[in-house]
Amino acid sequence: MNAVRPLSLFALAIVVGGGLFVLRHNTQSTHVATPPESTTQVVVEGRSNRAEPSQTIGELTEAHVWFCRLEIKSDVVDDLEEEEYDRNTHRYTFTLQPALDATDAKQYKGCLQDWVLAHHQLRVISMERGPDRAPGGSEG
Amino acid sequence: MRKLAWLAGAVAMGAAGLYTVVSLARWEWSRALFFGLVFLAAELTFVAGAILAKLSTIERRVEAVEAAGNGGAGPDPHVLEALRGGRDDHDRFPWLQVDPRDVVTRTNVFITLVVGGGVLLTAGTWVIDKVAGRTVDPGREARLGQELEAIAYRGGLIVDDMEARARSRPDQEDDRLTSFLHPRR
Repeated sequence: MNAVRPLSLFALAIVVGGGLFVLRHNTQSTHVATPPESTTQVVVEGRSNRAEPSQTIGELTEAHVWFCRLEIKSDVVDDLEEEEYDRNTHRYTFTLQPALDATDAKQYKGCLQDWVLAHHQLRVISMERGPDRAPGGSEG
Repeated sequence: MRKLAWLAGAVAMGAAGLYTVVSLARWEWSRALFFGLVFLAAELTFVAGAILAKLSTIERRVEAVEAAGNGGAGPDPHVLEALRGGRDDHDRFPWLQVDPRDVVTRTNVFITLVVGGGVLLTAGTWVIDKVAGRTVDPGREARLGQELEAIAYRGGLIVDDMEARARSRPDQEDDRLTSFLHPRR
């Protein structure tokens, strides 16, 4: 009976310590240099609910994408390609250059799926390495 | 109900804490802040509830100690019993509940006794009135008149106001004045 309390405290310490370790591993920035011609293609699904009538989902998504771009060192090249699913759900594809490293990818995905704009939500469908292209130029 | 509230609070706090950690791991800072606030609110509610429960326990103990310190001088049990006996659920007319099987032998049926006694008394007084009425007839009245004549007062024994004013000297008889005041004599 007396051993239950120390064992419980030990188990609690293990869980808390493990949780903190995992949390540190996931939230610690470890950046690596990526080639300047590399790209990352991102596909997101934008939804809006009771948004301002004068604001389209495309405008909200563009603002969201550009706001999150401030947290990474890559730039959005070209315009967003829009594909309408239904009235309130649109899918967008855009390219980031240079490609995101692992930390930037997690950070950018987290920012895109976070509650950044009111009445607007993004869901990241895919975030994959795209074809290389010359920096500031055409695909190649 | 209290356990259900505690359970709901525990579930809310656990879920909020879990989602805070998950949101942090996903780099979703706004979500993490929101769930952190929910976790904090649930935790504060928990702490406040625990403190209030502890205070309530202490209050009950203090009241028990105070009651014991007064020598257990609570209200008189007889008074309490009388007060409790006067509640709404008290049966105020138990004697009206008559068991039909022994209704004949019961003597505490008050209403029946009063009504029946009133009827009997009325019948008795009616009989007495009729019997008394039969005891008076003209012959008996004539005999009673003659008997009363013997005890009737004679004239002059009592001086009324009119004779006192008419006679200057009541001790002396005046036939003319007497015939004037009492023409029949």
